[in-house]
Amino acid sequence: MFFVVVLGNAHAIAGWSHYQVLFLSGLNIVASELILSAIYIFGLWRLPAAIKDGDVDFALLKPISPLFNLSLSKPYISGFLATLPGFGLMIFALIRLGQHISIGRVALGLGLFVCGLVIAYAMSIILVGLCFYFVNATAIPKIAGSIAVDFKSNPMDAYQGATRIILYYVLPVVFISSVPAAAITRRLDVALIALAPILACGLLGLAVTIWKHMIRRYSSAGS
Amino acid sequence: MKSEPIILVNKLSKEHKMHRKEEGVKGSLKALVHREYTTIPAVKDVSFSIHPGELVGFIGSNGAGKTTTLKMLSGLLEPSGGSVEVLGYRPAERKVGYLKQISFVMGQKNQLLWDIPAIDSFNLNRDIYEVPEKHYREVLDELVELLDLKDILHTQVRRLSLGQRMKCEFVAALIHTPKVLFLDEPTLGLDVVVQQRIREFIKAYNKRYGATVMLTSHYMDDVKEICERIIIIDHGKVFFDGKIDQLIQQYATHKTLNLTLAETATRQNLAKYGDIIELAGPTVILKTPTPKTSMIAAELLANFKVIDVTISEPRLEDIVREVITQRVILDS
Repeated sequence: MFFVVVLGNAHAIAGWSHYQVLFLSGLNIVASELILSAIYIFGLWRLPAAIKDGDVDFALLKPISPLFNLSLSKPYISGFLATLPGFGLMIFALIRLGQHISIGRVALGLGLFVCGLVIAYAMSIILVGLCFYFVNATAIPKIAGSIAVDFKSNPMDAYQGATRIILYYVLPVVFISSVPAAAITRRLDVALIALAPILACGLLGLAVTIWKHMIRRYSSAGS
Repeated sequence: MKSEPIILVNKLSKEHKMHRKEEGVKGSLKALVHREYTTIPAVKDVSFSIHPGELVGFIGSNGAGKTTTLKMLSGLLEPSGGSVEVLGYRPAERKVGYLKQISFVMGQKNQLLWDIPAIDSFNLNRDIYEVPEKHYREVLDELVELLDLKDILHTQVRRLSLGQRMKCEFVAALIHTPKVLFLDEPTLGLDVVVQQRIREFIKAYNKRYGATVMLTSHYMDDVKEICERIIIIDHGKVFFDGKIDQLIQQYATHKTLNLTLAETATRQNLAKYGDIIELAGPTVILKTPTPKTSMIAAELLANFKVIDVTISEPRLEDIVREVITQRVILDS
């Protein structure tokens, strides 16, 4: 709605046309719901309390990765249904854009979107991992949520200067929705296409390393 | 020939680093800037070994270090010192091969998923532990039969009573037929009927699968009925390790004589027979040294008109308290 109001008064936002922004908004809804469904509900919201109460015990005692177990043990299934309006918005925007979009471009966008989800997951794990250190830091999930939700929704070209450096390379939230949206509806710098899988793999590796380190700090809870 | 131990614990210790916060809001604000930590020893130089198939009770007061020891044995906590080896593995490494052979049942925590029927949690564990379908069905049927769970398998866990949930917890924990079973107060809060059922089940499971069981419980009936051997721990130190009979022989230095006399006796007349615990009219309770109890009973029968006499062994909880008290006095 915010973008609809802005675009009613301006021709474009940071070079993104009305329907390119609508496509981004649609993709953003899909990304948000997928992250919420698969990761966020347990991974970010539940884990600090589980660490505090010693409920991580059973995840550590199972012969599977505790990270996998904790991330996916309580998925928010209905969130998958909530992606439908996002898909609707994307299809509507693509029709109004009237562009011919090749299968190769869709595949590239999809690949970048997967990289974006991996980046979001890795960032979640890094932030949640801090809860093993700061046991009472229940605000961490909220901060993580704010960073992801507030900054990933905007067209990436709107960020300039230090904000651009931070949101592209330090907390690369632009890769979650904006970069895949640009790959499908606009031209995208090859360097960014190459950077997405590197960032995804690098951040995931870092997240797993931090997680393994942090899990050693787990002290369970008294009986 | 006696088999090799499968649990080897040598000078095991665990220290907890605790944040010391001063009281009130001022203390909370101060802790943000400057944190003070104290180190509390939870387990100190504990050593023991356990052979396959043994049923061992781990008893002691609250905060004695029982659960901490079990958590180190299961791999949940990294020891601060000493060594521990279970089934040839170092538990803290939490290797898949190790985790597939153990199980931990905690009376105060649930591994079953709250909103789905217990059978779905069992099926999930089948997949996690990679139990072959045929073996899974056989074990599940057997456990369901032993615990009488047939009618509640398809009920959501949140709708089950505490006793039913605990029985289902056992099934979830045993579906992969672990070789070592750690039980932390498994009968906590259960009614006497379910407690008894759980005890019988643990013994039956041990007999059927030869599993090694380590149990902590505050209910001495659990320990007496399930365990052949007990380890008494207090303030993180082992005070006794042996058979229950040995404990009674070694520490039950007194028995209790309960007498109902035909006439009221005086304290003066009874004092020479033992310590008078109670003297209420014709009812007398005397504490007597174990080796002399029979002789004293005979003398009482000869010297007083006795209507009824019973000789009681001390309760296990009293003996445990005695052991801990004696050792604390010796240590200090």
